[in-house]
Amino acid sequence: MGEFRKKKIQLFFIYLFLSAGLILNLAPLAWMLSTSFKPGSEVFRFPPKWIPDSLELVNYKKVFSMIPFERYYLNSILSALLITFITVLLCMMAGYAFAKMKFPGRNILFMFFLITLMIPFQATMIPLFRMVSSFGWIDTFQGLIIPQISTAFGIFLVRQFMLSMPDAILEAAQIDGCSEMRKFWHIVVPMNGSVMATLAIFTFNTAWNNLLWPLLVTNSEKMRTLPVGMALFKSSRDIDWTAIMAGSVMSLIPMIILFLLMQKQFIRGITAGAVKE
Amino acid sequence: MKHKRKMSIMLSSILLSIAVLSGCSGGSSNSNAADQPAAGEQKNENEQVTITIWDNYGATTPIKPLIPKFEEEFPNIKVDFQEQPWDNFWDKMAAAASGGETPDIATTGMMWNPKYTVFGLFADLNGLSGGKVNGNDINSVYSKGMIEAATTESGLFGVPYDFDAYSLYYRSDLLEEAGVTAAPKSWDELVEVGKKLTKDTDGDGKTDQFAFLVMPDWYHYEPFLYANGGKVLTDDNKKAAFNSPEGVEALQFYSDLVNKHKIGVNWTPDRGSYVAGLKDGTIAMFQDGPYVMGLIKNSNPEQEGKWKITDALSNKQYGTHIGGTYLSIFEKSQHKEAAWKFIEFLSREENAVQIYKTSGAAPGYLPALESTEVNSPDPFFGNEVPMNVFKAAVEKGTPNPIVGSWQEISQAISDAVAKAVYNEATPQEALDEAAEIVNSILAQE
Amino acid sequence: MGELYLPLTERMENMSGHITTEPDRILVSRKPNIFREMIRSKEAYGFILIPLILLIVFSLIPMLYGFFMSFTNWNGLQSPKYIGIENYTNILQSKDFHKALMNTVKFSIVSLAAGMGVALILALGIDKLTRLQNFFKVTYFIPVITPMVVVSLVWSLIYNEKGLLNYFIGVMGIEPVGWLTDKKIAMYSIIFTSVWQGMGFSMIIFLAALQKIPEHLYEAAKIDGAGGFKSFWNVTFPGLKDTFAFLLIYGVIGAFNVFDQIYVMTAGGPVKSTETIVFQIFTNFRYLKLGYTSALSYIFLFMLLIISLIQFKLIYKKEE
Repeated sequence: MGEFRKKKIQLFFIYLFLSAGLILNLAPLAWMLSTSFKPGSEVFRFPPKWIPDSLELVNYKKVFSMIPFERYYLNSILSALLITFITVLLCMMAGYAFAKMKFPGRNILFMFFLITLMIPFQATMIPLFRMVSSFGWIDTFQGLIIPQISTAFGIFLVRQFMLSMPDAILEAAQIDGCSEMRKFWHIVVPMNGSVMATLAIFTFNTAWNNLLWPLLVTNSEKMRTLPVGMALFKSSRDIDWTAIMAGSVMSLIPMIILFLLMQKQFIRGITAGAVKE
Repeated sequence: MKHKRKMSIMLSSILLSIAVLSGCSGGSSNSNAADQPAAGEQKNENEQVTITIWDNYGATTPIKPLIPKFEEEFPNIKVDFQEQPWDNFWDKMAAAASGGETPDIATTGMMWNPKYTVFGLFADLNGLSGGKVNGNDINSVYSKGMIEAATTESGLFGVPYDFDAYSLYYRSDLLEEAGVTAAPKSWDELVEVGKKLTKDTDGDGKTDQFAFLVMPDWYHYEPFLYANGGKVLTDDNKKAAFNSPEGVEALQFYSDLVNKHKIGVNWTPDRGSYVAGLKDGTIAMFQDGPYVMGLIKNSNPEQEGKWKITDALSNKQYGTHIGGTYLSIFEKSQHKEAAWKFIEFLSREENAVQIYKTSGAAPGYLPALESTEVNSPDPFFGNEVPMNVFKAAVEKGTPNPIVGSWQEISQAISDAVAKAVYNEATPQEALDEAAEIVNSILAQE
Repeated sequence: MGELYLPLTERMENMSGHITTEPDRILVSRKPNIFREMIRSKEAYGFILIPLILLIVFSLIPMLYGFFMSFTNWNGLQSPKYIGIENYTNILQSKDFHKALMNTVKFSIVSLAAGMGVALILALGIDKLTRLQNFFKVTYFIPVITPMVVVSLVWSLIYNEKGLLNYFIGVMGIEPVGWLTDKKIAMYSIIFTSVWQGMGFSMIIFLAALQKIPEHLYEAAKIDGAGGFKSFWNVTFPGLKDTFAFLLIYGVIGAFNVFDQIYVMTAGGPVKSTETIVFQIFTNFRYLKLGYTSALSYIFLFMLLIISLIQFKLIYKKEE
């Protein structure tokens, strides 16, 4: 009995602690939402006003009128989706190979991938741009997308997850005469839904928010992405805070939708894996 | 194999939509390569050309709305307007320049231009224009200092589009309230008036109204340097001169506003735009360029009639630097003549006035400054004509030195100013240290 | 599924580290067969072929190009001139570099320790929940998917001298603090924001790992009479080792590369107290000192490489 009560009290404090943390966690985002509805003159007004006097959509309308928002949005969604799809597929395969297959040069190749994570983009930006430019890829979709498919982080993440995948299952499949490809699709992919979801969210997020590369490689309105459009709200003279916040809220929506969609997969991947139950 | 089928359907649908998207954009992309006539053919007036312009004005660009009018007048020239974000403009420029794909025209500035000019990125406009803009002599329609600041041995790398020169903005209502009859003209008067204007308005023991805005950067320090008879570099641009006694004294005074007299507010970068401080009454006076007029009017309409503008502060002499936005044509441009036509068009009086009307800045084309639209009394500024003050400033001001590494040099000065204002080092120490850095940069030029 | 348990638990013990050392042994001990070995592994190479090509074309070649340029005065526009190791000696002697290095190390250590600590506590708490587990998980993760630039802008408003934070401590009677303007505090404010933004990621990874630890290991520990802490130390902790390794290695790389929040919130100030190496790389890039930037990047890469190698050694050595 005593232990049961102790557990209940413990649980109560955990809920209390986590809820308090949650408020701190969400306050800045609530502030962003609140700012996006305010007139520009009220951004810096303190003491803070969480709920604006009137819910006006002026700032949202402004975003649409100042930049071709729909087109940028479409470009962003399309390029981010494609980048995510390719990256996740490639990383799952390569991560699996690095974790569970044996082949000469595995460690050296893996280190290769890891090293490319360590160099800041500014250092390779100009050589990369010149190369892409010499391919004739400036202001094209392939120029926008292909150089953004960077697999190093994903391979690292996937490999780490797959290390703890029981070999027994793979070996059983081996005995059944499964090819590597079949094993990959039928065992590895379903068992690692969680890491796939994590990686997809991260890749999409990175691509969705990338400013510098799309800025360099695109020129025309028809190719540009959302972050480039948003950067236009900051000029030498002034920052349009409210427009930036309204744009940020809108640009956060697909991320949250994707996350909410993926998190089911995410949870299933963790709980329904062969390890537990 | 269900997975595979699903994936391949997804992949092919994405590829299909990409094909559609790139298909509909195919026409306008790569305008440079597509319809380029050889240099010799340019003379043909009927040749259809497209010029590309990179603009970093942001939302209030005066250029974009003028394009239809230009295309109507010059049906053989099409303008491809490409908006570029201010913050990353030079990243874009650096990549484009090194990758060899530049636009035809860009809005440029004195901050970075020297470097690119040294590298031969911009075309010489003296040759291109034959010394005339819309039939007038170039030297007669732009301020001498502005032209000087854009001229190197290899020529003129841009014509002024808007200008920047500092004057003193002050809240006449707060001055009146404090019993001050006239705005300060000199440093001594600033301290004297400043003490009356610095107040704890709500009685909580903390100052909430400061007499003067102190930005820890070189732009806002430089007018003090010039007012004290100092210079940034020696006349041959070979060595630092800002750590001369005049320079040290100027920085001493500038940092004393915060640390000793306590009449200046140190507006650190995390506070964002200082327009917020103008709005809530934290700042009673500040020195800045004409574009701030547009900013205050837009964001603080309730302050109508409270602001006035007068000459920048003097000590040994009057002091402001001058700068601004230029229009430059790229050396690699295939349509330099068409590009120049567009620049001339933008410079016409009635079009240059749009710089004031659309973005609240001061046109660099002097005849536009004389127009009635720019010179009418402004009720926001106590029914005075504030542009007159700036017109005088740009005539009397000092241009920044033209050296390739101006950006790095100005950063070193900014660091020194910040150190002194934050009381990290004495002005002498801070400026000497900066001078050492600047001298080593200049030695590599 | 029951029969999977037994071999699995045995595997749990020696699962993690063997990867890094074993293939080398293959390489060394069976050298004559390496080609046959490679041909036999063609399926494996097929799995990594495309990433490898992308890596070579879009990362390695630009990196090598940068490496050669680090010995020149390259500015991207004019033809570069060979200047030997001048860039490297200039950097290593520069006071600014030393300061930036210290700032980078400070940021990395504090943000990693705090971030992983908080994330582990959250994960342990959420793991125990009986209801709303999903809700907490999802909500704590949201800052991770918020763009760092937006995060930095919002936090700048909060840290503002007249901002939310000073408003709250003012209510408690504390003097306002210059969160981003006091050079002793600014770095910690940036660290706080970074931890806030990143902890959801580590939390999710920890949680996944926690939930992968088989329940019966805890039960076994309980039967052995282990209390809460002891079972944490003997069961939970070893079960999280892979996760720690991953978060540490990737975390160091990420922390060393910190940029966005510094760019937006302080731009390296006040008085360079938050200037990191990547920020310096960025500034010099903007000055078009591309040769210098490349050299700086290679020094940076070299340091990260050494740190990562030490980490690998420390983490995987004990497995032997």
